[in-house]
Amino acid sequence: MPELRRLLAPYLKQIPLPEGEAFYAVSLAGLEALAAEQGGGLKQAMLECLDQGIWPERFRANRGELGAQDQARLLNSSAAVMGCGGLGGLACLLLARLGVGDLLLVDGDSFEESNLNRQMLATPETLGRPKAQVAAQAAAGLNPACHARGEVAWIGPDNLPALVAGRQVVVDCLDNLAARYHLEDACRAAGVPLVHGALAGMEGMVMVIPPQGPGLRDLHGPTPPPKDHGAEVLMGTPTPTPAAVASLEVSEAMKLLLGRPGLKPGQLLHLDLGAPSLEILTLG
Amino acid sequence: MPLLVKLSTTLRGQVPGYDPDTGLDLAFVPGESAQGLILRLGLDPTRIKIIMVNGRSATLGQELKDGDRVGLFPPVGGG
Repeated sequence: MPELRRLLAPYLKQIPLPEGEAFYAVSLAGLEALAAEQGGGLKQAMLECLDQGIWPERFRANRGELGAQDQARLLNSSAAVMGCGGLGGLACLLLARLGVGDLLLVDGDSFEESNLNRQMLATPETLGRPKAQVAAQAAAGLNPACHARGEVAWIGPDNLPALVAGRQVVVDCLDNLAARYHLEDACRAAGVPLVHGALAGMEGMVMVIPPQGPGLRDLHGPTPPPKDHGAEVLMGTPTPTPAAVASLEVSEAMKLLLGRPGLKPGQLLHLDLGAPSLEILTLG
Repeated sequence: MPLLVKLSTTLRGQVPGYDPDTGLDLAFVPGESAQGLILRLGLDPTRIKIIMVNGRSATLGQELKDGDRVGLFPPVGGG
């Protein structure tokens, strides 16, 4: 530890805490110097510092809610985000900022003008570009220690098994129930927990679906309702709602990755930004 | 005690005078099912996917009790 601290000395800042306590934070330049010295990557350098209780500056404000071991655990975690539009665009940015080390971002679509009201990655510059590719660039750009891969593909029963395999959590940011049912099936088969989020108008729903436990069929029936029956067709997807739902999804994903208690199987979080209200409903 | 009915998203516009702030107080009808209540409201039961009675999911056939809080939701799948 003293050796690491000596090596990093020019890049360390002591951050005071109440009661005379303090901790150390290291700048990106320090992490890059450590990575160069040791021949490992940036993530390895972050993990080594966290192991000694030294916080990378970029994660320093996570400290408190997260411990250094939690932050290291997130860096060693892998997640997939299915859909990179209203929900997924923000979810992948939040996961990258949170420090999840390995992200797979999947979407077959490209950005169009009507996405600009709510999709964080849709800008005049990204119109026409594949959402998954833009998402991967944005995540890696935000956090160079994050390994982000974009998969430009429409999901279905054929490609889903390979996409969810080995992930520790999958975040459902799709925009239709038929695809969401396929995703749930693939996650169950692979034994991967799924965080479901959906919205219409000012309302949203979030559910954690463990490999065994209640899921979308307990919510919407044995077959997915036709797309034009979805409330979003009439109510739209206005600006604030996807951001709120995506944030709730990432918060549940984070707790799953850290082994912390969160929404329980069969609990449905119902958000109404209009009221506003947040309630937990129970399935079964 | 009346039934307290809360409607979600598209269902709100289908019941004249519905106030999302307060929900809807409806007279309790002994023996009425969730489906009976939905029909009484003039709603299409095939378009309602989630029925919550006192915060817990219920079927169309569930008989309602005096004072029940009923939440009705259409399918929600947007992202």
